[in-house]
Amino acid sequence: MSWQAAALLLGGGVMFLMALGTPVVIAFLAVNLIGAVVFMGGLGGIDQLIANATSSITSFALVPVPLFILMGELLFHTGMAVRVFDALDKILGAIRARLAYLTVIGGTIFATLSGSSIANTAMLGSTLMPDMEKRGYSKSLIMGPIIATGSIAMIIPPSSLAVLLGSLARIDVGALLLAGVVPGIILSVMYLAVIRLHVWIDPEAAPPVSPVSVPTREKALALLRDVAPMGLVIFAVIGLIILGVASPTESAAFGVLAVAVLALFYGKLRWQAVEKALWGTLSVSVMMLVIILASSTFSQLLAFSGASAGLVAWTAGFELGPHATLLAMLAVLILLGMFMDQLSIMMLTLPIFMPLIGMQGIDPLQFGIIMLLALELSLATPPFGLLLFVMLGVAPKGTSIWQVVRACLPYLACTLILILTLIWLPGLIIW
Amino acid sequence: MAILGKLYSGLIHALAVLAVISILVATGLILGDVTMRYLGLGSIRASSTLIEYALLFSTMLGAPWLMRRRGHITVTSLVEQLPPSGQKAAGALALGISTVTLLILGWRSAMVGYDKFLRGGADIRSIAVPEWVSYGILATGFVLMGTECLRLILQRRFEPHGSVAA
Amino acid sequence: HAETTLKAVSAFPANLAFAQSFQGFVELVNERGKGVVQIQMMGGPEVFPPNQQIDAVSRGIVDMQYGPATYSIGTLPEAYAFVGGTVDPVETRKNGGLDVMREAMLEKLGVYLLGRPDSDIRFYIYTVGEPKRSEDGGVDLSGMQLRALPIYNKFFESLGAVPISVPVADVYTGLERNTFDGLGFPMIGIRDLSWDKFLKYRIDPGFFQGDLSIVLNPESWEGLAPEAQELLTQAAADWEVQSGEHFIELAKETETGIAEAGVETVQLEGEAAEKFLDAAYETSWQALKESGSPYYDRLRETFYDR
Ligand code: NA
Ligand code: NA
Repeated sequence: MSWQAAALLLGGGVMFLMALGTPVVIAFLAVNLIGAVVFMGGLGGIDQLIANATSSITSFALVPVPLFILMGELLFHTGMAVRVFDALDKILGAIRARLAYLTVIGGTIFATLSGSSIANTAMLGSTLMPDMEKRGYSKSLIMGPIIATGSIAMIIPPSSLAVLLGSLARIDVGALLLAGVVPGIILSVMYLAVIRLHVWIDPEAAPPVSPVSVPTREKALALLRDVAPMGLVIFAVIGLIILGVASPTESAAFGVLAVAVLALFYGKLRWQAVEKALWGTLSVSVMMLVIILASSTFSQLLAFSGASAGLVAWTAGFELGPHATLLAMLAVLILLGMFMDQLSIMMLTLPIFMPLIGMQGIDPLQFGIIMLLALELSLATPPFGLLLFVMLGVAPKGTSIWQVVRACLPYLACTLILILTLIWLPGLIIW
Repeated sequence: MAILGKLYSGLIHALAVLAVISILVATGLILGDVTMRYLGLGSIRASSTLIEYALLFSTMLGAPWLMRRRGHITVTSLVEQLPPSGQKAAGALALGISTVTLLILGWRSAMVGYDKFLRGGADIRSIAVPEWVSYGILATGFVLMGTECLRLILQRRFEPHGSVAA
Repeated sequence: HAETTLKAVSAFPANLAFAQSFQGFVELVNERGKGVVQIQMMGGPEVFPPNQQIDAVSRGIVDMQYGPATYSIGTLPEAYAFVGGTVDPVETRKNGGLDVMREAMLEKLGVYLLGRPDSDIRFYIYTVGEPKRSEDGGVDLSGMQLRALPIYNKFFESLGAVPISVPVADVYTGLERNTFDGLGFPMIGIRDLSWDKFLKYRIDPGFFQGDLSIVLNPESWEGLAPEAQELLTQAAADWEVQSGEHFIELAKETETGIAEAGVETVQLEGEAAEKFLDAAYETSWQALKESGSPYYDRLRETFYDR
């Protein structure tokens, strides 16, 4: 079978089954099943598929997924999240859409401690979404900033993806991590501008601010009582990493512990709240991990069938200059990113991209950051975008995947603009 | 028959409770492991392996429960454009495909797991885990997800569903 | 017989040194085997997870695989003879050692062992802080927490260290923040992940031997023309020698490189060095013996000459 036909069978199959209303995870599993029979051959192929699946999520790197979700669910169901936002509301005063700004600022700060975009988005989503919803923010103003900021986690260090990229592509890991700081901050500033623009075009998107002025004393009190203690949570997650007590993967567990301790201290650790938080955690983390399980085996099948290698080799076949080469790579990454997970994309494309980079004399660091940004983009592009699914997992019933995609579009555009700037003017961002 | 149905529902729920417990155990193990390491008391050798397996355990045992709650992500916006009869047909087709897929996967997981059990190999991580364990967990999850779909077919509930409504 | 094409996978991403070595073997076969036998690379870990690749070969989904035999140690404890061995591949081809291992791999894993290239690699203990020396000139690692793969566990414990398991992605940050004190790793590849930035000491001598093997699906192997079988066997034997030389060269370059980058060598001499190595090799043979393997005596005889 030609690579084009294989790509059509696998990619088209998943899209058809999704459109038919088959749960996303089963759409992947069903196409995996057919693909295993066609490309690997009979029952042996199916057995191999299952063997591959056993390795897919028994990975320590995925531990922060359920843990950060649990942290967010606890913050929300114990009512502590509401108190923090009420307090910040008071303190920030009369800025329209302040919670959206807060998402970006808080999410960026969180990105400096979390290395996983999935965990970061899950945390922001389960903590902030219900509150903003209650306050009457429009869906796009809630979901766009959460996904966009969530995904910064893998650009700003620490980032497990940057470490893997650096080691697979033989780019200096330390330099690559550092090189992510400025683009990460630029992105978050761009996101703030998008929010400003959004409320300027559509003032209805955020509820009007109350004209009541709050006395400074009350502001200070709110800050001390409701916000400052959250420092314990931040310390548990960030501080323990910096002190070298826990690894970035492990520190999520201390975040959970800190939230539980605070809730106990506030007298909010009721069984009912805990129970709700636990079931909420199970439902979001199962939903995500089962899709990771099904889609990682799908990625492997796509690679085995020759579909993805065919695409990559096809682009490499054109003889292009440095800028056009980077653009072609970007196109391939975006296309693969619609269907594959990030690690598989890296393992598949790097062996072909790196020699091209060398031949064209492109700075590996420049390429590394562009690649990271393109991988970040892939998390939010349909039909397979993990962050889209995370968002749907925490969004209220009745939210459609298209609403989520539409909410992300302006933010995705920011990332694209940044990538294009980096292709032509790398000096602006990387020194 | 009614008792059987109750037992079955009880099983789905009990496995979900186990799934939650395994997330909590994983959290506890990390806390314990890091604390011991910090205090210079060494490390719990088994912890990283147990945590890695807890991920698979909680996911596959929670999946049938999520299926019952219709919480697996589903894109229903296109199907909803169809007239009611078309919706029903699409729903029946989707459920049929789901049932067949999941039961085949469950069957093969069980067979491979049984084969691994007979051979007695181990997955060597920080501790050794018998190889059949992960296949057994997958088999349990896939089969019960499949029977959940079958239940919907038997009850003729073909309407589009999922956590994504529109 | 017409030309046969064998589908192959490797346990490493294509740009790592080991995968490139296998690529060299593939090119050698494709060059010599025109009209007889060809190897088609299907990919690396992006196609099958490394620890599932051997099963893919025994199921016949691919015909050939290259990767560390110790990934299957839970089913094939005999792989300890690879890491715990000291006899080079040329010799194990002559003294029958390769045949014993071939028998074991066929029985336990259902694959045919073609060869064991890249065996000439050594593993080292790297640490962040200076290791304490014992009175007899050895090292005393008591209380140190070292990142370990399962095959090192017993050896590290015998040195007083606490082996801990840390996922690859967490090692960089862990070293940066001093979450643990060091790790075991081959000479080659230590710089690929930039870990040498934080590792300031390397304990010499290196221990163990490479465990990389090329295996085939038994039916694919039997189905080959005798001419193709001979060609593959010869190519594997030649590549074992060529790749060995290449890796010794590469290890020397890396050693100089990390020394220039400021990694200090903690040199164990004479009896202390012997004692250190004894502990390393003996723990492997001990583990094989404890597994109750019927191949123990024959493997010990043919793979070990210390
Ligand atoms: Na980060
Ligand atoms: Na995507």
